[in-house]
Parts: sequence; structure tokens; C-alpha cells
Amino acid sequence: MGYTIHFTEVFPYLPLLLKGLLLSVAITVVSTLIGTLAGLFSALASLSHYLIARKTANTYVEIFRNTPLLVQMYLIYFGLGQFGVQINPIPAAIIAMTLNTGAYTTVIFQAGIQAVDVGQKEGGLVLGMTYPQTFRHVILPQAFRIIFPPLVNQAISLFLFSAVASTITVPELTHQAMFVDSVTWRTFEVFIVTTCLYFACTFLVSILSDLYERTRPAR
Amino acid sequence: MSRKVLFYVLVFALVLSFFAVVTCSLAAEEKSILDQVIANKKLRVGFLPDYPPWGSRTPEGKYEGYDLDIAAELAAGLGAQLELIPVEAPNRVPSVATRKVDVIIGCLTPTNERAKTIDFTIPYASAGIVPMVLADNKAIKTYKDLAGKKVSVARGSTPDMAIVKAVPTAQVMRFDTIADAFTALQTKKVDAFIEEDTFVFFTAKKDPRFRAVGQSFTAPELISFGVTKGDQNWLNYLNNFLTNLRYSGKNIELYKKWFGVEPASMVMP
Repeated sequence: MGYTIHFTEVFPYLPLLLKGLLLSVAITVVSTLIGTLAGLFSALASLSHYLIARKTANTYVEIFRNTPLLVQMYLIYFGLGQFGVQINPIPAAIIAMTLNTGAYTTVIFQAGIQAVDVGQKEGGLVLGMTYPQTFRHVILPQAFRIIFPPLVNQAISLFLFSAVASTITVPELTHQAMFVDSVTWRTFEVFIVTTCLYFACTFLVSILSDLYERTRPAR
Repeated sequence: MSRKVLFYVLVFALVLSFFAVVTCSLAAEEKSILDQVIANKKLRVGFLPDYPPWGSRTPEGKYEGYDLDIAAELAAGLGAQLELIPVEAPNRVPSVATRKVDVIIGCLTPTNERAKTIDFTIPYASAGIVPMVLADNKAIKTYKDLAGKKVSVARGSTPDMAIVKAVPTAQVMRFDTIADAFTALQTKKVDAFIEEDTFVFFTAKKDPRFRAVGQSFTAPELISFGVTKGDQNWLNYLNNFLTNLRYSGKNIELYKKWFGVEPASMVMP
């Protein structure tokens, strides 16, 4: 009745798992880059003087922050398919993850921008800069210091949430792990190895971001 | 520095939990599931919740199906209360291997690969494998037309392995559940969905949007109960139960009730 642990049965599949890890990293990097940019513009829209821009940005944020990523992914992959809009699994996952992380980074940017003292903005304007110039050269650099750690956190949690893409057959790490599990039936061993792979990646990122924060000049 | 410490703590915790699992599985070795079921008057049965007519959910939220009826017979024989645990197709083997259920009665084929991890009873039914397509798809006439086409399966299922073997050029998309693989066909993500004939014929008959492609392209496969490895007492009990179910005629009666036909003679002497 006892269960004997056999890691040796999992080792032949290590290249497959690493391939999955690479795809996990790739879809996370792409979604994070586009999503963060989208978050920046959506934050600007939500803080602008234009009512329509504010409403649109806020609606976007509320919808995507208040629904599960899994549901969003199903809606984009399966749901749109019902209307004849066929998106392949990897693009569908990237779209869902981008929209999702965009909503979260919007809030991070909002907080960061608002945390910069109003005096800074007024100072920039008094010096004769236009608002876009003030934003680009005065507010954003200061806001970035504040939001860097939460942005890294968001990237890490998106990386971990990318496992959800396995349900729409994206062959990322979790999908490959489940596949290896169903060929070897070594559930414990497979997921221990998978855990270590995820952990190694996120741990590396947090060390790097720590180093970056420590080495950059104090303000 | 503190991060380094945290790292070692985590590694240590991981190693520790590893040993905890090993000792747990050793401790669990002492008692047969048969004794536990008799003592607790509770039988935990894993089944497929999305696979009519083997197991499915009624609109009222109750579970029904051929496997469910057999589970009820088993529980009645043991004088135990039946606790139904829905298990997705790819989780069937892990759920018995990790003792989440006492027995899996879920249209499970006793393959040699699976038998390395769990034990199987004598068979109680059999099933072939048939592709299903949308009714307006005229291009696919036999399973051979699936070459180069996208097909959906439940990951690690016997249809998964069968299609890879029969049509190596088919693009196999592996989903977590049978329901998702089926949804992929409905939403036109794939050209065909591969499943066991009983399910495909049942669904195609009920819903005119779907069409079964010919007859099974593999030899029919046996269906058994799955149990945790090495519990011979429990396995003996279940084999005896299935022998009695067969000779009493109850199995044939249940099979006809759900599938509308006599079971294949290779399973039913």
C-alpha cells in the first residue's frame, strides 16, 4: 500500500518541463510588457480631466479586477469561438493575461502618480514645462521609485497565474507537468520538480529586483 | 542575508514535508481500506461527473449514471453510506494513488502504464473509441481523415493514447476535463473530439448538432475499478463483488438500463 518515491521516472521528461517553463516565462514577459504599458495609459486616462476617459478606464479596471483570470480566459478562448472569432490558445492566453495585468497595473500607477507631491507638478508647470513634459520628466521618475516593488510583485503573480493557461491547452509548465503526470502517474514527484522550477524563477526575480533597488542611487 | 536564511528555511521545509509524506504513506500501510469502510460505515467513490451515461449531473444537481448505480450496489453490499466524489478524467489515477477515494468507478481502462501505479479489479464493462464531429462537417468520413486535423481529448485518457497511435499526424489538443475537450468541438476550436463510443453515441443520438464518425477504430477496451496499490484484501472484496454482480444478472440489467444494449460478451460470460 505504501507509495515509493521514484524521481528517476520524471527525469527523462525534464527537457519537456524546461520547454514548458520557457513558454511560461515568454507569455508572462509579453503580457507584462504590454500590460504595464496599457496600465500606464489607463492610469493616465483615469486621472485625466475627460469624463469619458475616466469612466472607460475605471470600467475596464473594475471588470478585470473583479473577475477570475480563468473566466476571462475561457471567455476569450471558448466564448468568442462561439461567435466565430477563433483565437489560438497562446494568443488567447496572452490577451487575457495582458488585459488582466493591465487592470492591476493601472491601480499601481494611479497610486504612484498620486503619491507624488502636488508641489512637484506645480513646480514643473511654473518652470514653463507643459503638462506632458512635467509628467515625463518630473512626476513619472518619482512615481516609478514608489511603484517599482509592486510592479515586480504583479509580474511575479502573473507568472504564477499563467498556470491557468494550461486549461486552454497552452503547453506551458503546468500543462507539461500535468501531461508528464498522466504518462508517468508520478503525481508527487512531477509536481515537486515543477514547484522547484517555479520557485527558482520567482526567487531569481525577487533577488534581482532587490539588488536593483539597493544599487540604484538614493534620491 | 535574511533572504538567504529564508531560502534555507524553505528548502528545509520542503525536505521535511517530503519525509512527512513518506512516513504518512508508511503509517497508512497498516490497515486495509476494507476494514476502514466497515468500521466507518462510509465508502468514498470517485466517478466521472461529466460523462453520460457513465456518470453525469441532473439539472437538479444529483449525480446519475451506470457507474453511480454500481457504486450504490457496492455501498449497499458493504452496509456503508455512499460518499460520491466527482473526479476529472486526468485525476482518476492520482486520486486513488493518494487515497483521496477508496475506489474509482469512472469508466477507467486498466492499461499497463496505469497498473504500475494503482491496482485494478476484474473488468465490469468495455468500451471502444470513436471520433465525434459537428453534424455539418462532411469532410471527415472515417478516423483516417483526421490526419493533420486538430482533435481534442482529455489529457492522458485512453482516447488520447489511441488517437496518437492510430493517426500520428493529428494535432492533439489536450484538455483538463472531458467537458472542456467537448466544448472545444462545440466552439469549433477543433475538427473532432475523440472519446469512448458509449459517450459519443449517446451524445450524438441526443443532440443533432453532433455526428459520430463510424465505429470504434480500436479494439474495445476493458473497464475496471481502480484501487490503491497493494491492498489485496480490498481488491479481493471488489473482485468478488463484481463476480456476484455479473452472475446475479444485475450488471447486465444496469448496462441495458443505461446503454440500451447488451454488454459485450467478452466481459459478460
